[in-house]
Amino acid sequence: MPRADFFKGEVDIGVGGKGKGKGKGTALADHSKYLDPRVLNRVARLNIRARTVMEGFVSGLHKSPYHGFSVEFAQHREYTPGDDLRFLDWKVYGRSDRLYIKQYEQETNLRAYIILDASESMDYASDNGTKFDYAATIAASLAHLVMEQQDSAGLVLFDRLISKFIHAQCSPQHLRVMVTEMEAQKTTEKTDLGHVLHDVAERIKHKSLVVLISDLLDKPETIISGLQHLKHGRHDVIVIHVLDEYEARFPFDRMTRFDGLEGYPYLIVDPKPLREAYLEEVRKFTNEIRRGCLAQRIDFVQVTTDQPVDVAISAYLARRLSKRRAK
Amino acid sequence: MGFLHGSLMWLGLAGSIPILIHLFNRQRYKRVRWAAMEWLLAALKKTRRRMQIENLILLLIRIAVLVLLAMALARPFLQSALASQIGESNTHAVIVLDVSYSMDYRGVDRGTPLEKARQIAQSILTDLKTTENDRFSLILLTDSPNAAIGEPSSRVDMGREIVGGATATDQGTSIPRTMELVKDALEKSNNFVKKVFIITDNQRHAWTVTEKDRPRVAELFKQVTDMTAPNGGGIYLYDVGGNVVDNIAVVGLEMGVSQKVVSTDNSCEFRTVIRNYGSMQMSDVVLNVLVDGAKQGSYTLTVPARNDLSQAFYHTFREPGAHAVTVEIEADALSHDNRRSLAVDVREALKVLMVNGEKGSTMQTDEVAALKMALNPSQDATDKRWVFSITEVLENGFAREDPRKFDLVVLANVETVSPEEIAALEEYVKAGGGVLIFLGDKVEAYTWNQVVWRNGDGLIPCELDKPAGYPKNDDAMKFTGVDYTHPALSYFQTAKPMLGRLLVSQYFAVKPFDPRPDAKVIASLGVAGADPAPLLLERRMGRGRVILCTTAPDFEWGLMPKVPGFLVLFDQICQYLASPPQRFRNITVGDQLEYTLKATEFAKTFSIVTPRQNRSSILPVKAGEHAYHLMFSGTTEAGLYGLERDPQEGETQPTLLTWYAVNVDPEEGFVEKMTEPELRTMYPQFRFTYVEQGTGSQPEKIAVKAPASNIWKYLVGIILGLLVLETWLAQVFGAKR
Repeated sequence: MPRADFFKGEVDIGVGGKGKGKGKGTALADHSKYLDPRVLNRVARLNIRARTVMEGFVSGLHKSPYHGFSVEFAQHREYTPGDDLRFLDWKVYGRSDRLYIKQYEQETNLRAYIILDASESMDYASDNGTKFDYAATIAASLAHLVMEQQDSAGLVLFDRLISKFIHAQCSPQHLRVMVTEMEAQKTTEKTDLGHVLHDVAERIKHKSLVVLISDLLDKPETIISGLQHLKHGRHDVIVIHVLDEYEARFPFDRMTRFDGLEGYPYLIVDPKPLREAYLEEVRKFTNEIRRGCLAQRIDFVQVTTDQPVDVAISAYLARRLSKRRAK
Repeated sequence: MGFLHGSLMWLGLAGSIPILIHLFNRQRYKRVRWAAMEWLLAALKKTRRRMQIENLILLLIRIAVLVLLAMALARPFLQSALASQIGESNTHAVIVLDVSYSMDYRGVDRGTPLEKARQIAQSILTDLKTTENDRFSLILLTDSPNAAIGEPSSRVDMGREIVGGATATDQGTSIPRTMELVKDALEKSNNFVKKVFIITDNQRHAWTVTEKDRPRVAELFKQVTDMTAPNGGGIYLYDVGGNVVDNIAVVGLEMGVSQKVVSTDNSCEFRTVIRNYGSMQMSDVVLNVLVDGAKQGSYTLTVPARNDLSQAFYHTFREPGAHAVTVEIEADALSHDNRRSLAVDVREALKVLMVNGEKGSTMQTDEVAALKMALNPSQDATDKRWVFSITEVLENGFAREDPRKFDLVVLANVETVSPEEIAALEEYVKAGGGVLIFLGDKVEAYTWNQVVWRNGDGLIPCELDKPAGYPKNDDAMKFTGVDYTHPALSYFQTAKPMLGRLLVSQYFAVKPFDPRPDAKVIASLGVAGADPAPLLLERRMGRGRVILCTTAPDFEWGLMPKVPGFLVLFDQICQYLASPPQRFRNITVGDQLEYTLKATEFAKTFSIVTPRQNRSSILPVKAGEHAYHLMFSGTTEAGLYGLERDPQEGETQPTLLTWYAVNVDPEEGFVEKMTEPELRTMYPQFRFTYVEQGTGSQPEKIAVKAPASNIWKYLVGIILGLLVLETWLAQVFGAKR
């Protein structure tokens, strides 16, 4: 994957969507190894060419993405003592002599929280850079897109515990802070994804778009339990399962010593006879997670590090859009 | 199960190659960091047992292929009844072919026993199925038997070549010695059936041993019987000898009894013995005498049946040095024993160094005067009638003389000798020299015991005590306990009265000692009222001899010089001591030739010329501090062997040092057979099948079955099957993966 030095120099990103300033992307790219200009460019152009893709990505989170910041009436409710008198509908009272409270739709910007796995297992790399780098690139790209729409994005970095919780905001500086934090993150600890998801569910009070980017190397039941907790908070949850190309295909063909990460011992085996059983294990795990997500109406996306990030993201966005339209 | 080429079984170690490859591959791994260990461990847990079983199956098949391949190359065979069930012929045949000279006996109407023996041996070799598991050993039977093919072999072509080229040697026969080799060959055999084929003319003497050796030989025969008895094996005695024993042989040739030294220009007596083994008197037997290859005369003899005839003849040598005398009779049925030779060392004179311990002015008072007179009555060193040339020195002049320049050293009543003088004398005796020691009133016993006796290690055989006897000659003592078989005294066997007139009045008593092979008493003095006192004692040291005379050769201690017997006695003793031992020059076929070099000759090169004029170089072998020997072991044929010194600078021809006469064992010429019942009585536990070939019966065949498949063929089939199975399984297992 492209590294930090890949972004040096003046690069015109030209992010579309809301038609914000061009120079913003350039300024961001100067500080990030995870904001791949080509990725952003392609995703952005995709947006320009198919605006609905981005629309689809955020639709359902904005009540009306085209109405701006207006306050809109929602319904009436009978007054109960303690209600703020400022919201009494005096016109109704005048016509019907009954006290009703006017309730308004709270029209806010989208809040997106990207939960990024920074455990030791994410440090694995075969030929295409580490999974963490790949996942961080996705995270930065999504955050960038969200902010381009004037929505706010937050970041949760975790391993065994939450190591960094950055509340959602919308500003170029904020994106820079997020990227800097991702770059500074050490990937040395074990994972406890279930516990972390519960913790995140407790911390995010408002309905948000929660994007979990992880290799999900934990017990499926604890992961699903954590996702259920998130879903219970009415969050829209997307799970992006990042696998290394080798983890997905297990292409080893001669005697190999596998040095386990996250405290696992090493293992010397002939991998060829193991391949079928290993891939079966991967399929079994993925299916279990996928079924859990489906039951919770959670989007599940599996990407491998050999896929270009833009292709992976745009493919998912296109799929999400088609689903929305079908509804 | 056994293996014909058992040494190839080490190839079975190749069976470890798959294991080594497996272990090697485990060491050559790629190292990766791995995150998804949970899935990997789960996969491993699920597949481990199946993988282990599959890998084990493949590994075992690969090991089995290599081990079976090694076994197939080693040619296995079964040592059980199963072998015969699958059609293997599995016999080890030990062929013993008699090549002693009696096998060359040529009868009137047929060939020699050896020709028939060769046919039988070839027939046995033809019957062998060496393409299967039959093997053979070939032993050539003589009194020095030789395992021509000792290890069990399948090389029938080589066996045929040896049998076809086998000729009668000049050696005798010893079946007990040969049976030792048979036993060794059987011990090396891995075959199921063991058979021994002894093809011989079955001479009586070949089976005969001394009563002392009989139990050991009987046990040996029993062991061979037990080794061959199981599984249909056995011992087959092919008697190829004839029933006629007519044979005349020259069985002896030696110098006359009194003739110990041959000197130039003196007539020398020789005596030969002709033996008629047959039952008929043989007339007109012509005996030819050859000296140095030139015929000197012939005698026509009549030799009585089953008897010996002794014939004397004389020859005068004109030149000193090595000469050879040969006698031969005309050819008869067995030619090997018709000729006999004798190597003779002709001396111009025997040089004697006399050390006079008591010089006197008259014959009566001088210690050695009488002795000198006895050895050379003319007192003239150039008088060739007398063989002894005497150099006399006084006691104090002895140290200046080099004993090696003399054939004999005489010490007469010498008071003391120094350790240096004795050391030089001992070296001289070990190299073949002779020493005659007379004691007397001057002898200092203590010094002699310390320097010369040295607790039995020195020149004299016993410890000296003190002078004894009677002061007056009237009470003189006579000889007694004379060993007439001793060469120095054998002359008196027929002239005992002459010795009986020798009188001794005083002698030097010696302390009692136990006779040893190298130290014994050969004559004593009869002492009134006491045990005989040792008078003449012999001590052998190295290749030389010492005779100690406990009295003096003068008139003070007796009257010996007064009678003619004195002259004869000491002439015989001195000839005996001064003559080189003829037994080293006249030996039997198979014995070793030996020659002691002079100290100045060790750096030269030497050759042996055999009777067939083949020349072999021999190198000196160190035998002591200043002693070198030449040795030659290849005396396989009878005749004269010449030892020559190779030409030195300025010489064109080699120099003949001496002859060696190598003669056949005369016993072998007696071709009378041992009958089967006698043999079974003599060795009751020796079980054999007797096959008389002299009567024309057919040789017994080795029982072999028709050729069938061999084990190695089955193994190759199994290997091919395993290879197919391995390939198929590898594909099946691989497909699963």
